Amino acid sequence: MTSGGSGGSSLRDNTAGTNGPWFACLPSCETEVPCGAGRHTVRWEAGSLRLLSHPDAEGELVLAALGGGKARCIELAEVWGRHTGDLSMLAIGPRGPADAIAVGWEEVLVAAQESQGNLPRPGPMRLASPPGPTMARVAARRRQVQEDMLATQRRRNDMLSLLAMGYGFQVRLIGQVAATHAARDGGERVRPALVAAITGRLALVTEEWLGIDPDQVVVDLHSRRSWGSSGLTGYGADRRLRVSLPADWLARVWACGLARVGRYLIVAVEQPGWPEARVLGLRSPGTAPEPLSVRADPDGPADVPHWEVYE
Amino acid sequence: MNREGAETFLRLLAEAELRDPALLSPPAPRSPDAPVVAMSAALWRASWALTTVGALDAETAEAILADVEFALAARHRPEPAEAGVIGWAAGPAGLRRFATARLMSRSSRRRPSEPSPRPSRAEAAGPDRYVPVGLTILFHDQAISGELNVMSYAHSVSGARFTATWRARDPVTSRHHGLPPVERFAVTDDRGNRYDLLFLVTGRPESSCDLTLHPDPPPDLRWLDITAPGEQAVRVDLDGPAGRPTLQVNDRDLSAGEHLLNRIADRMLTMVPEFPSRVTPAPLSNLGMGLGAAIGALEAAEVLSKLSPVPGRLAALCASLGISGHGITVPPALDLPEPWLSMLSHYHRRRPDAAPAGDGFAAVAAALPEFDGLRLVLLGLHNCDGDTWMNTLTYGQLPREQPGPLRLDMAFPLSIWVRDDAGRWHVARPTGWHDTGGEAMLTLRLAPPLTRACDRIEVRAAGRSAEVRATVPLRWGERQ
Repeated sequence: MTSGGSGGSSLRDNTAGTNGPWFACLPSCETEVPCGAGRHTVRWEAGSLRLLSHPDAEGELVLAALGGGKARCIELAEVWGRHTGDLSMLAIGPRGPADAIAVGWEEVLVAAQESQGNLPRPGPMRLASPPGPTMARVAARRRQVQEDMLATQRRRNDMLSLLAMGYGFQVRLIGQVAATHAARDGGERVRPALVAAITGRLALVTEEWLGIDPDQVVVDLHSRRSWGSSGLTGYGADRRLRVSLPADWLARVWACGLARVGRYLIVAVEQPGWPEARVLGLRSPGTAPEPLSVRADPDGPADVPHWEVYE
Repeated sequence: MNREGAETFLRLLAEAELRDPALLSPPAPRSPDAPVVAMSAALWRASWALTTVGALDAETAEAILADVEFALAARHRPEPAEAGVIGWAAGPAGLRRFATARLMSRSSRRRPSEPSPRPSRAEAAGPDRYVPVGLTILFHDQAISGELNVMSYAHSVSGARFTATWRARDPVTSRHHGLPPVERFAVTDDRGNRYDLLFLVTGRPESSCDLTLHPDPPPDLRWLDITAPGEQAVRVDLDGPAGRPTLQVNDRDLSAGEHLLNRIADRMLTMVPEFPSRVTPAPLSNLGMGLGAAIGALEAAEVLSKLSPVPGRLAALCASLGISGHGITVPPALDLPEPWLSMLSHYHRRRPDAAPAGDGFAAVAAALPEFDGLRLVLLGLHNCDGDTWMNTLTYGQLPREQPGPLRLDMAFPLSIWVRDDAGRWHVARPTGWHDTGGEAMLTLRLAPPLTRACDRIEVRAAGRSAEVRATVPLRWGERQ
């Protein structure tokens, strides 16, 4: 964890591409987190998580390591950091603003309490004879089972916390995960997850854009430097919208709320910025994308930026 | 095999599932212990098919399903809180939607490894002798009496054994109980050597067993005398005619997908004789659920050609058995394999009051050639309580049993059929095996059962690389 700008600690993104950081079209957003006896504000800003009520997070971590309690905000920042490359976030997180995920902090707290209640307790064990190899194997197996159980619980609780932060944070974490893997080019290990993540989200956008059945949208990953390609094939049940997009479309376009602006499907960002940007938009499948200037309402909801074409 | 295509297919199926309003709507009230969120059979079946053919490793598949389960749970709003409480119920009822979610760490996911080479029988030097026996050994003392029906003698690298059925009863109450007192049997060979018998039932149904000789006898024994308590010695002639099977081996190159679908059909057909024909029973319907998704998954993994006739045959089989909701999109095929037609014909003609096959045992010993890394040796066939069992010894590495969703365990890699001397086909289903490291006691149950009027059978064992047909004479022994 590195300290950030004024007023708190932050986790920084370091996936800036050749066209600036992926989040350059995103405003900051905030949420309230139950922490200690009250509720603290956590802010996402320029790819970083800021803990406004904990200006010395590093110091608090040292104290926690010495046996003191760890503030929930600090825990949350750690959770965020653990999942910035977690492809499960793409599978679990929202597909669009209408895809409501209902997880509240109450559930997070209950889950954490239940996990503590379920912790395996190393009970006293009496041995009639010195432990032999079999006993050692059994003990090792038991330790492994316990560790797996704890890891599973921690992962579930992590995911619940991330979802409880709300749509704005969920979308930004999805963008972060996508940007991380797009920058790494993880090959066949990550391509299926990225293809599915883009398909699931693009399908809903194109349904609004063209009225096409989401099941008829076929996506593949575009690996060259251009924006990609699109085309409509077949008729009736065989109709397919085939779109080829780079992996970072999910971060640079979709996560920034730019997937559809007016009558256009946005396929790339030429000049990122907030609240104004230059993008490439398709008016219809198979056509060349048009350069567009788009503008967001800076006073609109930060979670879901609303963009419009202005020239 | 296209592993990336396989994983992508499963993930896209999961995406489609998340768009399904039926799965996202609140479920009907059920028992408090029931899972709140259930994914579709299609997703389960596709995942199962891909892992079964090795296109996707089990950990990746499980992680994908776990993510879907969690995603579905996150989209189910918990029950509204009681009056006076703001927000959603956050107690056990609210959290229960995540109770079954088992999110897995991505770091632990692995690519499927290539199967390790299986040791062939040819590599294992040692005895390789199989003799049909067909003798009954009676035993009785004050505590127990009964009979052992010895079907075969086998001597392999792991030892010598008889395969037998047995019945024991208390002489006072005539109740069937207890094990044959084989520890008090005297066994001597043609050279005067003495042996103990070890009684093993692992891998066998309750009605049969293996009797291992200890110490290991010489490979060229001519006979063994077995003397049970209270009885005369019974001589087991090991030099008699071996009754070698007539073998026919046909090479073939079946895709992993076609082979899997054929075995699914086998599994369906094994269930057919268990149910009356008028109603399609739930277990059969369950077998058909999600088959269309499985076929799509196999095609995406490039282990099933889009031109394959097998999906159409499976669709026809489902139609004939009244199985709906399978999701197979190709039209039913007309060219069903002969064994399937035989079974279907039996199914549709079947009378519920048909007499069960009478108890009995047949001496059989026939070694089939190795294919697909496995070699099967038939060591006897017996009828008991209306079922027919085929006792075998299998060389090669059998996979562990992998109970799949919806009652499909396809770990056993071969399709085995038996044709009786009246031309009727019987499908064989493994009921379990006991692997002793390269050798496994495997028992197959035939459906429908054989009658004792059958004098010879043709066993057809099919894998991906070959199909072996063995015509085997049956010598039925009389139970006392």
